[in-house]
Amino acid sequence: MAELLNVEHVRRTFPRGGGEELLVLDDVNLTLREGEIVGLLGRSGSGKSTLLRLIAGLSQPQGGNLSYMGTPIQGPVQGVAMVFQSFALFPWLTVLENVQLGLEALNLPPREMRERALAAIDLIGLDGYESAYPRELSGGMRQRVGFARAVVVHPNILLMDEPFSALDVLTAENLRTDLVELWGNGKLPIKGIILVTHNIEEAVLMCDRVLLFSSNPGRVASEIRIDLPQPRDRTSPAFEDYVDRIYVEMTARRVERMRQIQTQGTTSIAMPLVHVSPNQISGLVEALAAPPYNGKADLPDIAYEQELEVDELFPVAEAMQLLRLADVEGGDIKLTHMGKRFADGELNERKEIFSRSLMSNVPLPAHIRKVLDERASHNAPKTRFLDELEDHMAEDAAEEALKTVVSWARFAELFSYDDDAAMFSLENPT
Amino acid sequence: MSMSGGWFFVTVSEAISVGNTDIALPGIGSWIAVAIAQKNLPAIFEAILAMLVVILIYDQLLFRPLVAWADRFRIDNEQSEDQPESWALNVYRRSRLLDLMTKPFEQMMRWSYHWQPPSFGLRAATREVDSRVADILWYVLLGLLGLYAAFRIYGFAHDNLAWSDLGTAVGLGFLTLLRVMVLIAIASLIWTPVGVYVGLRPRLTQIVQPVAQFLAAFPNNLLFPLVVSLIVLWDLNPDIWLSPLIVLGTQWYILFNVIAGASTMPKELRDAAENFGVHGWLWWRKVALPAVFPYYVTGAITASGGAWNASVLAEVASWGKTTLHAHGLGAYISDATATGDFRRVVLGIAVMSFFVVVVNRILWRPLYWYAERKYRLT
Repeated sequence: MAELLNVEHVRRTFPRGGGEELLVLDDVNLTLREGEIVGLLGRSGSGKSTLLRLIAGLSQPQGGNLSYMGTPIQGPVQGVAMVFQSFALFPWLTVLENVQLGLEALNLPPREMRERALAAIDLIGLDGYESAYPRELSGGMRQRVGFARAVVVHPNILLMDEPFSALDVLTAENLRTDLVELWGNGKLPIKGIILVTHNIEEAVLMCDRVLLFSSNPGRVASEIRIDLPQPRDRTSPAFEDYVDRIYVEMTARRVERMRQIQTQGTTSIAMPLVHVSPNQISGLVEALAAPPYNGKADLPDIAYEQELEVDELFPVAEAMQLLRLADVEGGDIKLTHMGKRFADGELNERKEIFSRSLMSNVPLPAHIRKVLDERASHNAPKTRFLDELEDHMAEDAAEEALKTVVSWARFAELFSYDDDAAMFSLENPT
Repeated sequence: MSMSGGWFFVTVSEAISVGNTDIALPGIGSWIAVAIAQKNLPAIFEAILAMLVVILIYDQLLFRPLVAWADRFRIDNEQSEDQPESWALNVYRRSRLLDLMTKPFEQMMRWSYHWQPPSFGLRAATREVDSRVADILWYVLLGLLGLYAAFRIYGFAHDNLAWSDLGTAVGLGFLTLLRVMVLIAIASLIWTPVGVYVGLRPRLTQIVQPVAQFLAAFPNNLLFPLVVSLIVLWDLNPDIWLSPLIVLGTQWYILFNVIAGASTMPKELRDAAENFGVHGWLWWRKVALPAVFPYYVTGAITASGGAWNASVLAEVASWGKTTLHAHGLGAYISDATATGDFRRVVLGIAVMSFFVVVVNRILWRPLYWYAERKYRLT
């Protein structure tokens, strides 16, 4: 089948302070053929949205090639339309005017513009809302306007950047099935779709192929073809198999890396720490310890039961792995001995376990504590550690690591932090 | 606005002459007045430099810390994207000396929590009816006060002033109104596109925004002598060339409000416009101008208010022995003050107040509400 889009060896970096560069996308390859829905699945920070902006011609890569139907992409391409996560509707334009905006840019005669806009509004199910302003609509209806606005220009490629993630569960499902149905009936004037998501089930439900992205830097780690007829049934065993398989692939890589760091016995404080609150950790430990899991669970199962998305579950599971409260293996998560004791303990015992685990397993808080112990005044400014971290990692990663450590250390009562003065200290407020 | 307005009139009122009474307080305003009388350009530059330094110190030690500190009172649980920062505030916060010095006040505050205001057996209006009655009483009181003031003004003025004087003042008021409107329009035409351009470029915004705010805080009347000396030198028409002085200081409000507006425009919205090929005039008309409109209106209201203030000083300006007059209500008030003609001062001020209120009610307020309702990005 004809290739709509070709992405070869694309690399994208962002400039950072001090003349350094942050690598966001590295050697990414992707083709979109006619009649396909391709999903880009990965955690936040894996550069999926960046890739989408490159495809739309909204920014330029530092290396590699992108071509749309054989011609290189050098700027915004007519024939590639985008649907945004936050809808990106113009609040001062009515539904009709929002939908027409793309047609105005094409300089069409007013009659034709109106007819096409009304047809798109009709197709997407917005009849009767033509004169409403976006603020008068619910989230679901707003995103329908986003779809209508993209569809009305009859693009060959539709790009969707997490289009359902700002919607509640029911609305999102309603919109997904509507879209899949329109696509299946061949009613959409579109030849191919690229869908960015971090929701595994959404990817399996809608896509023909799913590309799994790894993060920091973003790379295509593997590709999974979903050979299921539409409409797909979420409860069918085949569907669940695909979901499981993707979970295993996504956890395996990350856990592998973390285990490497741990077995190397690294003492580097520059370990990226994703912000997860002690409450989230406690919550997941408790859920794991309780029946029906009794200490061991399938990741997709517990994610579903706890209503956690991949983006929420993985960081917590990783933090538990880091603190040696749990072991993540394949698609499973299992409480360690210490994890079980944590689950059984009272608050003070939990704090103590947490504190000991921090000191022996996470280099950064142990380092901060040591510095505070050694100083006569028992305090130190945040910048002291921030500068130290920034020698090894990006500024925002350093900020996030410190933020995480502050939240963990507060729970563990390891040291305290005064945000007003940006000072770490040993003294607890009296 | 208020700070620069404050500086503006503080410097002016330091050296004031009403009729034959000359008052000069020691200060930068008197310095300028003397420099103008002596045609001393270097002295004027010195004054400008001194003022710049004062404002800079003032900004760094007082206002920046205040803004950064006030950030903690935002009703919002999330940390804001870019928190205002102030090195001075960090110093204050970490200082043990300050801690020690403020301890007694902290204790005093604690006592004050338990103070009860003396009760007169009154209670706050809780029912609709009560507040309606209070409203009516309040408006009646205001009406009576207004009538009384009008009566006093009439009694004060009608001995020496004919109705034709009112006609003159109103006529001059229209001239000044024209001047204010035309100059705000010109300033808008220049600064709106510039503001949008700057606001969409974060790095440029970081440089330009503080400069624009700084310029707006600067009492621009210190710059008047420079312009006036040129008008005198080249013998230009004061009716036209004194006019720009009116917006010299206040134009920056338009600029920095538009910059603020453009920089708050969500990235996705800009991406959407670009993705759908919205360019050129279509982009300005449907995307950029609506997005900054509420901010522009806020800026323009402040600018026009400031412009009326400035007209009193800008329409009459001197350089050495030469005094330039433009026709307008500001010059009318200035001249009346200089000759000690109190009746005309009162008349001029009353007419100007009337103009300002009417323009606010029939132009700016409706525009403001319209902008808030239709164009505010939420």
